[in-house]
Amino acid sequence: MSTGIALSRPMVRQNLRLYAGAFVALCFGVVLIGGAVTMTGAVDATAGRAGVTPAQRAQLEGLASMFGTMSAIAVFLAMFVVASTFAFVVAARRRELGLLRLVGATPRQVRRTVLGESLVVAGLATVAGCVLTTVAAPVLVAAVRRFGVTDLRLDLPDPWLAWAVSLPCGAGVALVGSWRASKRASRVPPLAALQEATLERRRPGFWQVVVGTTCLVGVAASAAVAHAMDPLFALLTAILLPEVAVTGLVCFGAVLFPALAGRLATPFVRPDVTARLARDQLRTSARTPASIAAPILAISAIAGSLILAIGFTADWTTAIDRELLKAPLVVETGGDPSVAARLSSADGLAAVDPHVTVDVGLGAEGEREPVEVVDVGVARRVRGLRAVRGDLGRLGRDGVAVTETYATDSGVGLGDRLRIRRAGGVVRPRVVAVVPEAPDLYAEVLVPRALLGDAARAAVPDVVFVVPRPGTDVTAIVAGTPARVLAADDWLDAVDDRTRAANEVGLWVLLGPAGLYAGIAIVNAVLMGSTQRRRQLRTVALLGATRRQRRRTAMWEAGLVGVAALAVGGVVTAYVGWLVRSAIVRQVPDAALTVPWLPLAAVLAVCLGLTLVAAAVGARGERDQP
Amino acid sequence: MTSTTGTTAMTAATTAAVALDGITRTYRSRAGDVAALRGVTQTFRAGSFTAVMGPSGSGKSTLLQIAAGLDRPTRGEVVVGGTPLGRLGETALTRLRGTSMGFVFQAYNLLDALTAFDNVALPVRLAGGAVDPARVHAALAQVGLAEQARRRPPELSGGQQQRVAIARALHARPAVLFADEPTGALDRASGRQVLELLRDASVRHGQTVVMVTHDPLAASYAESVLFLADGLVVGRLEHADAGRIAAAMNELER
Repeated sequence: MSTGIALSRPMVRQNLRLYAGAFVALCFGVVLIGGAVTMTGAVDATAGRAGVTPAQRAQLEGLASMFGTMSAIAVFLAMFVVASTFAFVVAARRRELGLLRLVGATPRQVRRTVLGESLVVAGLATVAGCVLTTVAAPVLVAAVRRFGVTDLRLDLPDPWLAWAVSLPCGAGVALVGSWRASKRASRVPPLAALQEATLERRRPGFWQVVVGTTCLVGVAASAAVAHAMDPLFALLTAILLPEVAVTGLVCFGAVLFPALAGRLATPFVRPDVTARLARDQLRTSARTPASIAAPILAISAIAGSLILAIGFTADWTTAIDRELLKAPLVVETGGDPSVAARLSSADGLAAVDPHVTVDVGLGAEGEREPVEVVDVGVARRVRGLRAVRGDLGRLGRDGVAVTETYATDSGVGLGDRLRIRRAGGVVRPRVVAVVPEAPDLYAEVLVPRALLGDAARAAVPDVVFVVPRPGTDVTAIVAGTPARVLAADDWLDAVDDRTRAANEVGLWVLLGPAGLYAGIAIVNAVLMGSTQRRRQLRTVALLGATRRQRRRTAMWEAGLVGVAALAVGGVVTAYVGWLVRSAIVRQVPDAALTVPWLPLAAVLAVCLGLTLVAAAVGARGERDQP
Repeated sequence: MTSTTGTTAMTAATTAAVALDGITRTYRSRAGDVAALRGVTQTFRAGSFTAVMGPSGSGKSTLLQIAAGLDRPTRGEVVVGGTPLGRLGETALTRLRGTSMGFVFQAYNLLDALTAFDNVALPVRLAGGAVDPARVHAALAQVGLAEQARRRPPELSGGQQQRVAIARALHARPAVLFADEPTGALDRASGRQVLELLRDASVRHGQTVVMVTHDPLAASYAESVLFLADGLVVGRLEHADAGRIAAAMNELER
């Protein structure tokens, strides 16, 4: 065993307090990743169960993609938090590492020692995280059902699935996080052992400048192509761009956050001496503000962008629906097959357009998906159906239409053949038209009734769009059935409400665990920061600062960094919102876009509240005597 | 006080444990360049015990750090045991420090995570050598800490910690021992013990000791005292008592 590794164990024991922070960050990071894997496995296991209806399967597929996104966010956040925590540990031990160099440790030996320590902590934290995941899995599954994400009872996958992914992920995240920290540790000079006080280095390293600049240039470049973005691409950008922006900004975090937090303190410096102290400490420190700001920035930018983008998307689909829907009345059939028949045969109706979907096997893999059975002539007049490419008039036994999204997602373009497995065998009609997106008015693939035959005739529409002639009482036509007749605007409002409720559930799934993890990371960083600041606070106490003043100083310091990080997160969110908004307005100029202030304010309040509470708790740990 | 300027340091380098030739060290700051050392040339003979004194800011700690290769001079060359430090990379310099130099500082510079025994044995372990427990115990016994080998630094008094640091320096038997205010944080009795150990290292074991101090009594343990002011060597006393050293210091600070 090398000296570096042999030294690691007692050093970890010595720096237990600091490493407790790294342990917590990694352990919960592993739980986050393991949780995402468990849920993906649960969805997969349940989808293969007999008796799952096509609608439930569609719901599970939606869930699977949500958990996929959640996994990506989980790994991103864990990497961030763990890297910043390990960097913190190294910064806090500068003197000790300098001493090792002084008594003869080569830079390589110091590096191995720090890496060895990280391995000890990573090993313990990863195993603890995996065990916690296994324990928490049934709770997670129950929570998903309780929140109404699915009405199915999800089957728990074997625990080894989460272990198989989380163990290497945890080790990988820890290694990536500690690699840079150990490199930085190896550069600590022996002279550091003799320095009681040093000014922290703020200048970013070469690779930080390269990565940070690349990311920020990438973000700026997105503004240049904003005019050509369609709403769907903008939505995808809204999911990915915050991560890029956060990475770029964190590379310059040691410069950005102390400077910004110091500036934010300016109005309070004159009336409050504790604010002045906090500002002065912030101006000369780098690691603590950067570490506290990183998780706050990450979660506020990612959550803010997602909340805004998903809210705008709901506005967008509602605006499209309003623009396209020509029928003044919508009849909800309540699943009664006689409703559509009554309406079709009734006098006094200018147009009757049932919204009929049939589940078929689509594409090479034959995945069960709903297709819309349409009468093009009627749907044109009632649902504003039109082609953006191709010719809807050619829809027939050998011609189908797809939406723009479907064409982008599946790669099936105009003129290509689409494989459809339906009762009676497989057919391969051509795509003859591409239509705009209108998820509430029709499905992504539109076929004529003739293509599906009996299956189409047997399908029961959930709603029927109706254009009555003046004086016709549609309610009377469907009297005695469970059907409800709604004005088109009321129906659109109800659909919009349902979409937003579903979005809310989706956001909980996507952001809930990540938010919880970010919360732990924020508290962790603030508490670690307070450990590092202890010596300076004792000096302040020697000079006559009361316990209350010291606590206020700590809270000002953490609060100012929190507000600075939230402000930067707000800028990222606003930028992403602008991208999505401009893409939507270009397509639907009249779209009324609403900013979901409440969830955004909730993110802000939770981040700031956690920061302040952690600072207060950290300061409580100070002893009365200096 | 005899003046010592422009001695032929490099010609004596072969017999010298440490030779400084025209050492200048400037630090950059926003207010402009600050010169801590301005062309110092000095030789520390093998087996000698030299105290370096001077007013605050005279450059004595910088001189020690540069002589030990902990800091690099802006100009000039340092030769330790015949090896010019300027041409060495970080790892080679570390190895040289590990084999040829020992350090004792005011802040005891022990690793809290390790026992007294492990702290003493650490330089040998880091150099990849086999630790002889008997020699480690002997080094601890030499500083009067035979019974404290299993204790960690926080369980020891300040004087005891400083003696562990000296045991560490003695155990590896480095050719040169650098000490910066080694008695600064100690009571009178502990300080005297530490100084006697340093004198022993020079007289009995032939090690070269370079000690920075501001205390005339501590400096009187050395065979020669070097005076620095404004980054220059301004004087030297041989075999002087504390009274003469204090008088020389008073003159410098006037």
